[in-house]
Amino acid sequence: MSEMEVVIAEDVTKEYRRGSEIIIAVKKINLKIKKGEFFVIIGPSGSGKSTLLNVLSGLDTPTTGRIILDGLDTGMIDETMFPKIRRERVGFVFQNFNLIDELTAIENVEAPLWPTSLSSKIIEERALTLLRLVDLIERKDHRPRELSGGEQQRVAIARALINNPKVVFADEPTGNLDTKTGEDTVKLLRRLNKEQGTTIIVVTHDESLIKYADRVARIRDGKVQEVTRGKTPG
Amino acid sequence: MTFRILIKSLRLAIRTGKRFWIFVTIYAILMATTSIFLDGAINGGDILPVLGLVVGTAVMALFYGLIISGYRKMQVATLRCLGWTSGDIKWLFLGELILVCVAAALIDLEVIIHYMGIGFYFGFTPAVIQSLPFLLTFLLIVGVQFLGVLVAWRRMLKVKPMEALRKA
Repeated sequence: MSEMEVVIAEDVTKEYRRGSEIIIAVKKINLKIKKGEFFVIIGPSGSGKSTLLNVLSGLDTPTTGRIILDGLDTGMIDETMFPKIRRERVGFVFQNFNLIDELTAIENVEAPLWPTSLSSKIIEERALTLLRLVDLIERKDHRPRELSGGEQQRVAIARALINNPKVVFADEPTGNLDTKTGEDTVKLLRRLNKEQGTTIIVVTHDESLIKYADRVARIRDGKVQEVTRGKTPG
Repeated sequence: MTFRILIKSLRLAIRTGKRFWIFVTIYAILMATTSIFLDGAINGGDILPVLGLVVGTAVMALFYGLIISGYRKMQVATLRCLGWTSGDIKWLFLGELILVCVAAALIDLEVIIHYMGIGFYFGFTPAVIQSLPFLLTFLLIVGVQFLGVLVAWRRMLKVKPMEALRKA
């Protein structure tokens, strides 16, 4: 494995059993995603892109093949080690934002680090820095219901970055946003990708996101059809 | 860090609002009633009502555990994505269930103190719950809450992190 690659999928297949039927959601996928890349996986609904995200991020295990996430073969890792790996190496951005309603914006950002041995002061400082970065410092004490969809997604992005992850997985990050807010959100992800060097893997069906990508993998019927360069330079 | 999660869980519980206060009220009534019957049982009365109330509290704890685990399912899936272990998540439930008991006990104490004050003001000696049965009841009810925590926690162990990625 090259030092430059943060996620590698080798001959990855994922099968599900639905009753007596076996569904092959992802078929023999090979991908190499480099450090610092803004990588977009695009495909229509039911193409297997969310399954691929689950497998790439270590949330699910492939039926065959292997995933190497930041140098670790996810198939070889003990189940009990996964929380630590997620906490230290991975961030998630969800389509539905998945903020905790009873927590304020800053508390939502801090939450991933609460179970760590870091002091509350350091956690708060990190959260404040990130909220400043996503331009929400003045809304830090607001609860999710008091924030717009775009603001909630920015809080979720700040939360995904609080552990300084090697890679952020974003599942349809613009899916619940209007066009303008969606575009602002992707621009923010792209800016953070460039400024912080965090690898960002976005799964989407939205073609307009291609212009922000370094590379794009098109997936259909569980197979990667092609991997092309995005439309954005560098 | 466990202490930090416990403190945050108390804040989370209070902010859930209606559900929290409904259960505080139910537990306050259960605690007061159990204390009165326990006081009677200590002074030679029947123990059966006390046992009945303890069983009722256990059922309530299980019910509360089920409600919390249903309500927090998506939160738990999200927190697991963010790297929380099942052990960390247990403290979220424990905090809420213990807080409900403490709040209920404080409400009972408040009522007792006011009742005594009114009694002394109007010149009668109020028959109040004695401290020993009240303390015993409190400990008993807190103990029974662990059933609720266990139920909620076991249900949460089944929640897979990737459920957080499910679309609404």
